[in-house]
Parts: sequence; structure tokens; C-alpha cells
Amino acid sequence: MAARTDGEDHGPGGPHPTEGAVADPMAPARDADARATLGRRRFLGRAAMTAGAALTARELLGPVDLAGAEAGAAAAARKADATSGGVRARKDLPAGWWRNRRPVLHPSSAPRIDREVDMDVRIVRHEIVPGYSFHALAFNGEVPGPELRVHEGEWVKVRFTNRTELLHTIHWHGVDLQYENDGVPYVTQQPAMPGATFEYVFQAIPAGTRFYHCHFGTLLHMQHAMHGALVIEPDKDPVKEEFGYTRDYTLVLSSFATNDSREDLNFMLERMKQRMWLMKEGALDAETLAVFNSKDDFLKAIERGWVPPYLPSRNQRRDRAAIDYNFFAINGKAYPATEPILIRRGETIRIRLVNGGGLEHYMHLHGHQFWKVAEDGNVLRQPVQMNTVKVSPGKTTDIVIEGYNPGYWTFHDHDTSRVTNNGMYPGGMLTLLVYEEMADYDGYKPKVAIDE
Amino acid sequence: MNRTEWSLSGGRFLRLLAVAVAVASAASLPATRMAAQESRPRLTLGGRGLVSVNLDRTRGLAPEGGTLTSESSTVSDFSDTFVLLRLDQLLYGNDRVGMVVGFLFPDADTDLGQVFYDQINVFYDARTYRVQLGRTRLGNFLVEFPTLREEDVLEYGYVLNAFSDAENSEFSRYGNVIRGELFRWNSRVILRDQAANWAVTDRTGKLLDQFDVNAAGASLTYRLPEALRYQGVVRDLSVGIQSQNLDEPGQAWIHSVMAAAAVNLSRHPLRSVTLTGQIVRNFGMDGVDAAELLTSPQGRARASSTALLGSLRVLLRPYQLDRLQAAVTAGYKAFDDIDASRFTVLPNLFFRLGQGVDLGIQYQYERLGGMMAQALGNRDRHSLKLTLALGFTSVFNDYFGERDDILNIEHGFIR
Repeated sequence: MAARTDGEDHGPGGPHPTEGAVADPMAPARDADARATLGRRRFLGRAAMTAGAALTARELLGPVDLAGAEAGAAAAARKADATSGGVRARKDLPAGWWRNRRPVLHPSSAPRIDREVDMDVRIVRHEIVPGYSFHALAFNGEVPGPELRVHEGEWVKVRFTNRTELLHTIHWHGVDLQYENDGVPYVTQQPAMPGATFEYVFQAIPAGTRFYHCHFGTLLHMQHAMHGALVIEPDKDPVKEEFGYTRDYTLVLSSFATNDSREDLNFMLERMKQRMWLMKEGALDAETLAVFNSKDDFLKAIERGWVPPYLPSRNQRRDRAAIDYNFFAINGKAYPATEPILIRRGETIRIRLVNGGGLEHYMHLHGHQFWKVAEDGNVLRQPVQMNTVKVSPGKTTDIVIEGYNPGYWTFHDHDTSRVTNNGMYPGGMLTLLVYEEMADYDGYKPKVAIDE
Repeated sequence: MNRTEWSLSGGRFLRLLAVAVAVASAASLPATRMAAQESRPRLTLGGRGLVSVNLDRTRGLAPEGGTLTSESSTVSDFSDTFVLLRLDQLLYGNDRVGMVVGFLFPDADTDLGQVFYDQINVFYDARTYRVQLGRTRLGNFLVEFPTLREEDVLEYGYVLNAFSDAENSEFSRYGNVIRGELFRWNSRVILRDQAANWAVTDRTGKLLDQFDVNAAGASLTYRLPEALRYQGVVRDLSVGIQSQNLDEPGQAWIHSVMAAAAVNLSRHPLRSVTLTGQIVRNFGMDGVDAAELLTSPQGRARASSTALLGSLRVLLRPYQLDRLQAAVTAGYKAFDDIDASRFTVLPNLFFRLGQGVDLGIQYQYERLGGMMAQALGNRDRHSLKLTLALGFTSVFNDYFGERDDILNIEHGFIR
């Protein structure tokens, strides 16, 4: 799992625990007083901490980088009066800040293109978990698609090439852009034909965690891996200022119905090969494509006896309401192939959750209360403390985790039917929050269990 | 033993098969008890309900000379109606093993009983090869033709059973086989070998308990996968050989060679036109009076002959839905060294009312020439059939693909 870091990354050159002093990183779990202290601490939030409190925490938690802890405590102290009951009101945001919208400009008015990106889509064999692969529609051959990071206000040009025999678009989900770049087939654009390239040009606004996905045959295409994260970084990140996070993770949540999609893809490919022949011959009519120039044309076709494809007499290939999701992934991988989220004591990390699939997920972190700081990419006026966050289809949710409880902690969908691989628990949408200091701890180490 | 019993009891070959299946079943019992980890097989249910109203008019040769005309009608002919059940299971190594059980309803006058078990087989299917064992198609034809029933052109399109004097088509279409197939070039090239037990009857058509291997065959085929059927001009190109071991004094084998082709005259997926042709050359028995052979089904299968069969098929598929098929099929067969031949032409029209549901009409004219007319006692036959048919295939617990799925052949094999 790729974590975005900044200058405060606790990487190899960053702060380390005191040499040889990692006596008992599990202390919080074994010390009732410490638990009580932590519980009170979480209730009050970090705002209640002072430099002295940090020292107390150091004693309880084991060695903590003092400078980092003090800095965090000092930052927290500045907001000491703003926290109450797991909801923290921001005082440093100007009144009405959420109404500040940048105007949406037509691409023709772009003074320059700041970022150019080449994207394509291919059909690949994707191994979601060792031993099991399926055919996926993949942006740049990756599942999920590559994470795009741009700066707020930048003009972005994406050259999208369709390397499949299906039709596709890219919808920039949650981005305010000129409508002809919104990627909705037959509403804002003609879909990208096989082999064709379509250019999207838009200004990256507003800032936040967004994502992109194919909007053609969305039921199949988007949910079958054609989605990826789009992070628009602001000039001034209120979450960064508030929490001072040092690592920035993106977790794209996906749910796959591999049997349904195999059937659908084969059917679509067979049908599209024939349609491509018709297109080349100029013989593809509206009724075959099921795309009409107007509602009147559609109604006239019905009057002529055209049998629309949604009628049960024509389409009973399966009960679409009962899509059988059987694999669930974080960043394209199902447990135990998922990558852990790394953190250090005293460190604060940000996690951007992007739901590119078709199911709701209830991401639950063990042993911690985290802050929900943004939804749909938009920063919340009041961060909310929780340990389980719902991420609906099409939603993004940003959370901030403070590293105050060393250990190995599972982070998973609490609808545990999604913590499975083809029905076998555990698997699927599950990963671990791992404190890096745990490498030196000789207590219980996680095993890889895949059949409970 | 009547034919139905033959179908059910099967003799040595099927007994061996039954033992193998029983052993396999017994071996799998412990696994089936582990219900939580049971991997259920995929189930495919297929079939076709085919009922026709037949009107036949035959003009034969009267014993005293001249012609004799007879007419007959059949209120409901449901022959060739069939039901098929396939169960297949993915193996640990991603190969699969399956079984097929199917039965059809034979012609009422065939003495085969109410049902005939045309499919009772097991198969092992890997990415590049397939082995099949049990009752199934004999592999004695190369391409299919657009007729209402296969038996309509049986005499022209198949290597006929040289062991059977029974008046049915089933003994020339189904038998007990051990078949191996190799697949190359993304399943487009298929090499098929088989050893088979064709049904053996006595001169009255009574089935005999002979279940040893009495025939062998091989074929080499280039074929567009069904999903890609409009992606090229050549849909099918095949050659094959079938040999039947008579094991009779002075005549060990009858060899037949086959060649076939199917081409898309129009690749238009909404208005496809397909031309199909096949030739079957039967080298026959040596030193036997061909004229005598013509009087019995077994004899006609043993007589040296050349059969040609061709069809032109137009399929209209507005909106990529099959709606109307018009086809004309014609066949000609000539026997060597004697004046005997037969000819048929068979136009038909099928209108698809709904998916899998066809309303059809078929006319067939057949003329027997020379000694053939004398041997069978008639010269001309007119047949008109009106039909309503329902065909279906439903797949349950579908958790793996087919070898020739587009994904598997064009985007990397997974199954």
C-alpha cells in the first residue's frame, strides 16, 4: 500500500524510538490505569494534552519521540477549548468557508495545461489473492486505476485511450468541471470507441479526495475495476493544519462479482465485436445500439415493434438485483494479500477511503478512535470521532488516525460477509494497522489465517 | 432385451463406466460430508421440445408396374425432443471433470422404446485437451446442417452404421466412445481421435450384446469459436476419417473419409449468409453385390458411395436477436458401380417468436433413382412439417468459464 508522505515522514531518516528501550509497547493494554488515562485522553481529545501530558503518555506507552510528541501536544493545546464529546469544532475556518466555490471555467479559457496524463483501459488478468485471478477492466493495467494527485486549481489534461473492444468514458467523480468533460456517455459525450482516444480537460477543483471511474455500462465497468483515486491537494489543507498528519494513505474499496462479470464481459465482447463490424460498414442503427437521438425516436421505435432489451422476454440472463459479490478488495487486493497501514507511536496519519464498488462498507478500526475529517472530499466543519465509518458506493471518506496504542490492529469492513474470499472467512476487505515499533516487540505476532 | 433396456443397462462398456462412477462416488463421500467446504458442481440444463405436424406423400412403384401413391399424416411427431443435464466440477488444478446425462424421444416406429439415452458420459477437460468416455455423438459427421431434425438428412450427412439393420437414426448418431481431443491456436484447431462401439444388431434389427470397440475415427478441424462466428469468412474447415471393423471373413474394415467447409458469404451480423458443404466418401465392402446391399440399412451403409450435402442459410438478426432463418439444404448420394442414387432438397423457414421459441415450416422432397427406387419401393417423397419448438439452456452455479470464451481465448486463459 503506497503511503503518501511529506517532510515529516518517519522514514529511515526520521525519528526512531530510543535504542533498546522498547520494553513493552503493549503496556496500554496491560495497565488499567493507563487504559483509564487513555480513555479520558480520547474523550477529551488531544486538545487536553500538554507537554506534561505527553511525558505521562511516554511513560505509559513506552518511549515516544519526545520532540514529536511535544509538538503534537502543543498543536493540540492550541485547540484545547474546541473539543467536546468526540466532535471537534473548527475555530480557524472563516464563517461561510464552505460556500466559497471557485467558478467553473470552460477548458478553452485555460491559460495553460499544468498536468498531462495518459490513461488507457485494457482487459487484464488480475490476481486479487494468491491463487485466484479474474479478468478485469483496468486503467493503465492496474487494479484499481493509478492514483492521480494534482494540485487544486491546476488544469489537467487526460488523454484516455480505449484499448478494449468495449465502449468507455471516464467520469471525474466529485469534480466541478465543464459538463462535456464529465464522462457520461450519450449525455455529455460520445463514448470512446475501441482504439480511440478522448481528451478530458478540466481544472482540478474543489480540493479533496475524489475519484474517477468509467461511466459506460457502469454496473459492469466501474464495479469491475474501472475506478481509481483522484486526490486534489489544496493550497492550504485544513486537515493537515488541524492534525499535522505525516503519512497519507489511500484505500480504494472494491467489491467484485467475478462470476457475473465473467458472464457479462463475454456477452458484451461478443456483442461489441459484431457492433464494431456494423460501425465500420456504417450499418449500426439506433435500435441495435439502443441509443436514440430523442425520446420521441425511442417511442417511435417501440411503436414499430422494437423489443427493448430490458423486457423480460429479451433479457433474463440473470437476476441483476442479486449480483453475487464474492471478492472484496482494498487497493485491488483481498486479505491476506492486502498491504498493512504503517504508523508509529505519536504519529498521525490520514487515510482516504474511496468506495469504487457497489456495496456499502463499514470500516472499523480496532483499538482506536479515529477522526472522520472529510466526506465526498469535502472537509467537515466538525471532525467526528468514531471507530467505524460507513462508506457508501460513490462516497469518499477521509479519516485521521492518531498513533497512541501500539500493536497490530485490524481495519476491516464490519459487514463481515465482505471479510471473505469467495465466502471463506477471513479474507476480503481487511488489513492491519501496524505500528512499526512492533517489529522489535517479542509478543504475539499476527499469523495469516484464511479459514476460520 | 428391447432398445430401452440397452440404453439403460449398457452391457460391459457401460457396466465398466458405472463401476468407475461408483468408485469415484464412493471416494468422494468423505468430502461431501464436509458440507461447509463443499464445492458444488456447475449445472447446465438444456433441451428442446420439438413437435411437428407431418404430411407425407409417397409415390412408389407398384408390383404390377406403374406407380402407387400413398399419403399419410402424423398429428404430433415429437421425435428428437431431448433433455440434457450436464454437471461439471472445477478441479484443484483448474481442469474440470463433468458428466452428461441426456435422453431423447425417438421415432415411434423405431422400436427403441419411449426414450433413448443418447448421452451418458463423463469427460476430463483441460486447457488444451479433452477426454470423453461414454455414450455420446459418434463423430461421424463434420458440420451441422439447418434442418428441422438431423435425421432428415441422415443418409447424406453421416457415415452410417454398418453394423445395424435397425430402422432408426439413433444407431448412426450415438454410440459408446472413448474420445480424445487436442485444442490448439486458442481452440480454433481441433484434432479429434476416437475409438467407439457402434450399436450392433442382427438382420431383424434386434440389438445384440456386443460392446467391444468396432470403429475408430479421427478428424482435424479449423473452427471459429461460436462467439466469434462472424469474425472471419471461413467458419469451419474439416477433414476426417471413420473406419468400421466388420470383422467378417475377407472384409475387416470399411473406411469413409469426410471433408467439410462452412463459409460466411456475408459477415453482416444482422443478416448473415452461410454456405455449408460436406462430402462423405464411403469406400464400402469389396466383392459384394451392391444391388443386394441396397435393400437393408446395414447394406446401404456398407455399399461404396459418395454423398454430398450442402446448405445455404440466411439468418436475419435485427438488433442482434435471431428472428428469421431461411435455409435450403440439398443432398445427393450415388452408389458405385450400379445405377442407384438419391437426391433431396429441403427448404425451410423458421420464425423466432421469443428467445429459443421457433415456429417453423419445412418441406422436403426426395427422389430415389435407379435401383434405389426399386430397393425401397418408392420413387418420390414429399414431406411437409409444421413445427413449434422450444430450445433452452440454463446454467446454474456458474463459477468458471469455457475454454473458448472470448476472455479465455483473447485475454489470457483463466477458465
